[in-house]
Amino acid sequence: MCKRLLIVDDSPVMRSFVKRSIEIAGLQVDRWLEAGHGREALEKLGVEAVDLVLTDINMPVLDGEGLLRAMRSDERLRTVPVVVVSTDGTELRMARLMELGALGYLRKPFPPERLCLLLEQVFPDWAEERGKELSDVGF
Amino acid sequence: MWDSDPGPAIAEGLSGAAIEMAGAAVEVLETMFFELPVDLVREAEPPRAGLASEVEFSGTRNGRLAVDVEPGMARRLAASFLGREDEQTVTEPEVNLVLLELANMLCGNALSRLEPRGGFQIGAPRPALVTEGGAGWLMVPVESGRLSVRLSFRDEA
Repeated sequence: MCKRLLIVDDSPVMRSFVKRSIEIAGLQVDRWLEAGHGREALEKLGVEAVDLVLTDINMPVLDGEGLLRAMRSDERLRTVPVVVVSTDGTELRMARLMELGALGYLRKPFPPERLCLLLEQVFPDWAEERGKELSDVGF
Repeated sequence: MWDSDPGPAIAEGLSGAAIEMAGAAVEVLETMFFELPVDLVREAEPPRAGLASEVEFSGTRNGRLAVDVEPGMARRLAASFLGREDEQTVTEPEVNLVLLELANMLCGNALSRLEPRGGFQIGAPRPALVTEGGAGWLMVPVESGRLSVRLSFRDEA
């Protein structure tokens, strides 16, 4: 049950942090794609399908809101789940991004459990498999 | 009345924005860098020049956040953030990038606490060549050293 994920953030160390957090959560990812801004993300999404996009908001060239708008107006990308990972946790911003169709909002700093919960929402098949594994070892 | 347990005190002698800044600093250091405070956050003199970064913001309020980290601590923070057991494998550019991300997270977290219904544009964090003097610096003592942070608003300058 391997996944393809795209991480969009202008900070390479933050992309690395998100990637490591997902690996620690135990999600099997067979293809990692990365982009430094929304425009680069759209270019990558144009040639390769992904199961989830995790995006920052404040980025040069095209920000997270612009990326979300572009994806929602594109027939092929409209249904791709998007989770926003950002330092901006103001209510107005979160509400606007959810209205634009973000599936979830992860405010930095975030503990690994919060990321896990979001991944379980996005991938219920993985959540079920994970729950079974945890119960098999007595949790 | 508290909706939940407010938890242990993290700061001493602070009020207003400084309390929120202290809370943001402790949360960011604990959650993203696994660094626990070893004492209370207090106001302090401007730091001696360590490795510094800063970020400007505009919107509901305008201002700047500056952060200064002792050099040895900066490498340890970067190693923790990047999941490296050996600090020596962390390069100088990686240390600098982590410090930029640290300023970004401190700023976003502090503003979200201060103005949860506000709207902000947080600029791109950048290295600070000179650490600012003046009042308003907070010192956060953690296991690997001292982090100094200052949140200033342009309308209060």
